[in-house]
Amino acid sequence: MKRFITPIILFIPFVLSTIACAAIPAGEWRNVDLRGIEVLPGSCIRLWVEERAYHIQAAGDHFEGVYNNVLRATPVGLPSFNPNCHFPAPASNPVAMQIRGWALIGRSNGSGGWRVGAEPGVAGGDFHVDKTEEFHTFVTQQGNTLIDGENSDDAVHTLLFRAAAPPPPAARTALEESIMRVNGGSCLEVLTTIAVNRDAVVQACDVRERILNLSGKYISLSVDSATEFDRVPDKFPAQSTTVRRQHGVFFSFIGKFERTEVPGNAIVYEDGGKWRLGFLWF
Amino acid sequence: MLGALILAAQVAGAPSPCPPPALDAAAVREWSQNSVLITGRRTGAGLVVGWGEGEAWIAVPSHVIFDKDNTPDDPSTFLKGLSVFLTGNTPAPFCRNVRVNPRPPQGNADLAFVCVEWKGTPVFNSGLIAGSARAGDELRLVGPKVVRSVQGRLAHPPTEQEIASGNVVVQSLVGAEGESGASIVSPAGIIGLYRGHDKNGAMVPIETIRTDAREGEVPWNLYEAEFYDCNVTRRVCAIGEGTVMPASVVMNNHHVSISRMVLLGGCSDVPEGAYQILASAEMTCEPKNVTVLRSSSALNVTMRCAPHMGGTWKTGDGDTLVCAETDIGLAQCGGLGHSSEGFFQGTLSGRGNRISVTGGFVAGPNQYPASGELTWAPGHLTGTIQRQQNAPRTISLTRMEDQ
Repeated sequence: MKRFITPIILFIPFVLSTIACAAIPAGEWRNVDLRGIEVLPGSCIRLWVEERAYHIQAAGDHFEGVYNNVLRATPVGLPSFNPNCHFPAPASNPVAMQIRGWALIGRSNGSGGWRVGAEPGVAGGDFHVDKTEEFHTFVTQQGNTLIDGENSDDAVHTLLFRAAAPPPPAARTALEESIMRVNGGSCLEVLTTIAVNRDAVVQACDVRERILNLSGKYISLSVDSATEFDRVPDKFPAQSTTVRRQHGVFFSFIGKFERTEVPGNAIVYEDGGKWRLGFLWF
Repeated sequence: MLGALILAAQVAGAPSPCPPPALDAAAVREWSQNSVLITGRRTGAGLVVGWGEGEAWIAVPSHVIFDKDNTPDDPSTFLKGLSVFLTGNTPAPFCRNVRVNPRPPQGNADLAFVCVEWKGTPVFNSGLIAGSARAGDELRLVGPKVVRSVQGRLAHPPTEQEIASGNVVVQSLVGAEGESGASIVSPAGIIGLYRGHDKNGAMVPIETIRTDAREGEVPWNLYEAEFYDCNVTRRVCAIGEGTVMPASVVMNNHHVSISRMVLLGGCSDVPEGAYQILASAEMTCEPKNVTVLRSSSALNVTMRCAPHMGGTWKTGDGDTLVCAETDIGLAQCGGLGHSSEGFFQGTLSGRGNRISVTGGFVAGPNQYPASGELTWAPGHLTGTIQRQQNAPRTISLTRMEDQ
């Protein structure tokens, strides 16, 4: 009988302590939206990203920290770096950025969550379209997720922050395998999975074969930056007023061929536990 | 004594014995995408060799289309009753604006071309030609009508005479009626089209098909398949870019157990193949993978490395700074909250051993910009961080082991 009683005695204090005193969600937490793809005449394309981050540190029975929101644009594909690409004001700088910051104080609500007050702080960047206003929110930690909002099923109003970490290696693997296949003879097959217009796919692969004739065979890929994201517009890449959750990584990289190097960008996304190429500018 | 010799050879980096090249099922599946079914006077197969502008061109043994008439007066009459199935059970319409369709033999080879309309599907593979054919290569027939396994070995690579005649006898590869036009695949890619010949197998070599296509102005989209022969080496030189560099990198082959160490600034002879590049754990380096293909010229691999700044750093008095490395040479960090200056939140950036610090300290509702410069050595960051209007604060951080 004794072996059945022991676990119950241990279990009750654990449950009580969880309810009474939630651990402070210390560390850095990140949530990123792919806001959209901006396309201008002349193959001038930018990807817009909104990055949010909580930096939290315990301060006695409460926590302090910083909340950042960075809205930035990144030109994608070689033609987008052409000086003839004139992006509209106020974000006319090709690599435009709006940075906003808040100072945080979080206090326990006594039932496992934290009420957070945020005071406007330092702002920066080269354009400003959003106000930096005081706000209040409610966060709870579940494992490696910081839930910012009341209803975790509500993708529009509740943000799920990830504990800061490098992007999943599987995303990088999917990128490299796709690039190898595009340059190894399976261009039509790879691009058909990511593009609707078949004529455009045939043309793109034709161009790629001509480039390969000049550049020589594909050798390697060096990643310059990798931005993990959590949500996209509901009808991405089309504009949409709502968003949906979608885990993925936006890569900027340099592709090396036998005779040249070419910059590129790609979006890979998680689909049913597998990582797939979604967009490629290369 | 023998053991010592073997050890000495391994230390010297002597090439490991390579397994004989084998057919890769995944590659064969991809190459088979270009093999299509043809029915008419005879049943057989063809290989899609060129495509674009709504058309697909198919190489096919002439006898499948023209039977015994290799010099027809009007080739278009042979379209009657002929069907080409790119996919499924619906034949593809024949091209309308083509000068001669189907194209009868250009030379001696049992080879014709036929053009059909193509709307972008099915997708074809470009990289499927064997770069070389070698004696002893394992061979297999691949085609829509090849239901049983037809395998053999290449007795010798096609000679110039055989290529000129467009006929290579492959005694060990004997297909059946209806398998004419099936692709003959080797580990390195497609080496030709099968054509039955008495009791022996025979093929139209891919070189002949390419020559005839060029002379017949038939579009051509095919090039060599990715194939690594680990008996062939290429000189690989590792070059460092920047000030943070490992002394060497290790190249591990993805598919066979080959590993080579290459000193930065040095070179090593590396067998053909796809490799993972491993550098010091204290650094983050790109690229992480590289493909080594045969060439008489050296392959220069430029390594771009930066200090690995991710993880938890600890001061001498037990305070911590937690960093997430988001890019090469860039980390977002938070911590150092035990000091009276507040909680630090900011960015560490640098691809050399000088690391810039930007960010701020948060103390209650107030934020104070901060900046600084740290010097990186493997596992250590030392330097100053200065909160605006305060004196610079000397800091020494040691990276804790990754959990």
